[in-house]
Amino acid sequence: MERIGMINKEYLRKENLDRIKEIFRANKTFPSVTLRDFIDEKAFLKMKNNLARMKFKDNYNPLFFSYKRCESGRIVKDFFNSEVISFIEEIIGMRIKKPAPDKFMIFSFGWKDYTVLNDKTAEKDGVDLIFDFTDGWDERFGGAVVYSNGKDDFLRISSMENTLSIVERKNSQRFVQYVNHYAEGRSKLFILISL
Amino acid sequence: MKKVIRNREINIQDYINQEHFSSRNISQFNRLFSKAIPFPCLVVDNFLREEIAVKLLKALSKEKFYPKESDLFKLSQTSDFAGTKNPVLVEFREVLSSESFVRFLGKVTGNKLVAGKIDMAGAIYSDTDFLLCHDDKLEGRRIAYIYYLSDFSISDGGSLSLFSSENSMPKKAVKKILPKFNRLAFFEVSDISFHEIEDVVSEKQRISINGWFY
Repeated sequence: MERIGMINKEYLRKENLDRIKEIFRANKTFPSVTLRDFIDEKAFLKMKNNLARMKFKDNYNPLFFSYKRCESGRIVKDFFNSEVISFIEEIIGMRIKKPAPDKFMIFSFGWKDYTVLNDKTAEKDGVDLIFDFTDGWDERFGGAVVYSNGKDDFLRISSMENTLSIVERKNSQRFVQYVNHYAEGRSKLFILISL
Repeated sequence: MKKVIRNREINIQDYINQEHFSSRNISQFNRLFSKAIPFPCLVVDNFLREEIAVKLLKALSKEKFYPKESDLFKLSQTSDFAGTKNPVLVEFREVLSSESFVRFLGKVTGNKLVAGKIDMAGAIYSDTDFLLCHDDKLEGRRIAYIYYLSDFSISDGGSLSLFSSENSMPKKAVKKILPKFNRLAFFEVSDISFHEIEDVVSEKQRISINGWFY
C-alpha cells in the first residue's frame, strides 16, 4: 500500500486494519465501518480551509431533494488520493474504478434540507465513501445519512468531524434525513463519493 | 340532510354550521374552490358548531397515536376511524361520509363523490415533525381534507403549503394554509396537487383529522 502519510497511522497498523475489515463485513445487511479522526489534523485543516472558499449552489426539487452542492474540485482530489484509494480497496476487498465526476460531490445540508428515496435515481449496488467535515453537529438536528433496504432495516450514519464512513450498498438506497430547526444556521458538510 | 346512525336519526346541521349550506354560500364556495391558485382548494372556518369541535378534540385525545417516521415524514397518527369504538369519532365519520355532506361537497368541488366511502384518521405533528412535498395521488382519491383542532401562528410552522407546478413537477410553495381551530381545508387530488406540511418549530401540537373522499 502506498503511504503518503495523511491517514491516521493507527488505522494502518496490520492488526487494526484486520479488525476494520472484520467490522466492515460483520453487518451482513449493510456492510459498513466508521473511522473517526481519519486523517491527520494538518491535512484535515488544510482541506477544511479550502472548503471554506468553495461556492455551493442550491439544488432544489421539492419532490426529491433540497441541499447545496459543489462539484468535486481540489478538495475531493486531495482527499481521494492514492493512499486513501489503496486503504479503501484493502477494506472492501476489491479494486476501485475511478468514478464519474458526478459521483464526487461535496454537500451542505442546513435547516429544511433533505433527500428522499426515489426509484428514478436509484443507484446500482456499490460502495459509498462519506467523509465528514461537520463540527459540533447534534443528532437531534436530523440530517443523518440513512440507508434502507426497503424492508424494516436501516443504517444511520451520524455526523462527526474528520470521520470516514464506508458503506457497501447491497440492495439498499440512501437518503438524508430532514434537517430540522434546531440546526439553526449550522450546516452539515461532507464529501460523498459513490463507487 | 338526515341520516340514521346506530338506530338514531341525526341531522348533519346539528354538527356542521348551518350557514355553510345556504345556496349563496355553496355558489361562492364553488367559485372560490375552482378559481383557487395553485390548484382547486378551499378553506372553511367555523366548520362545525363550536361545542362539537370541542367534543371532537376531547374524543381524539383518547385515541392511541402511533409515531411514524420515514424519509418523507415524521408524525404521530391514529388508525383509520373505521375501526374506532369512540362514538364521537364514529359519528363525525358518519356525518362527513353521509349522502348530504358528500352531495354538498360535490357541489362545492364539482366532483362526483361517493357517499359512505371516506378515509379518516387523526394526526399530531409535534416539534420538528413534517411531511415533505407529495401529490396524494392514489387510486380513487378525489378530495383531500384536513380538519384542524389547534391554533397556530405562522411562527409555529405546521402550515399546509401548496406548490405551483411546471411540466407536472412542483416548483415553488405559493400558498400557505395555517392550522386554525375548527377550520376545514380541502383540495382536489390531481397530478399537480403538490403540497407539504411545514415542520413544526414550536412546542405546540398541530392536531388534525384528515383523509380523503372518493
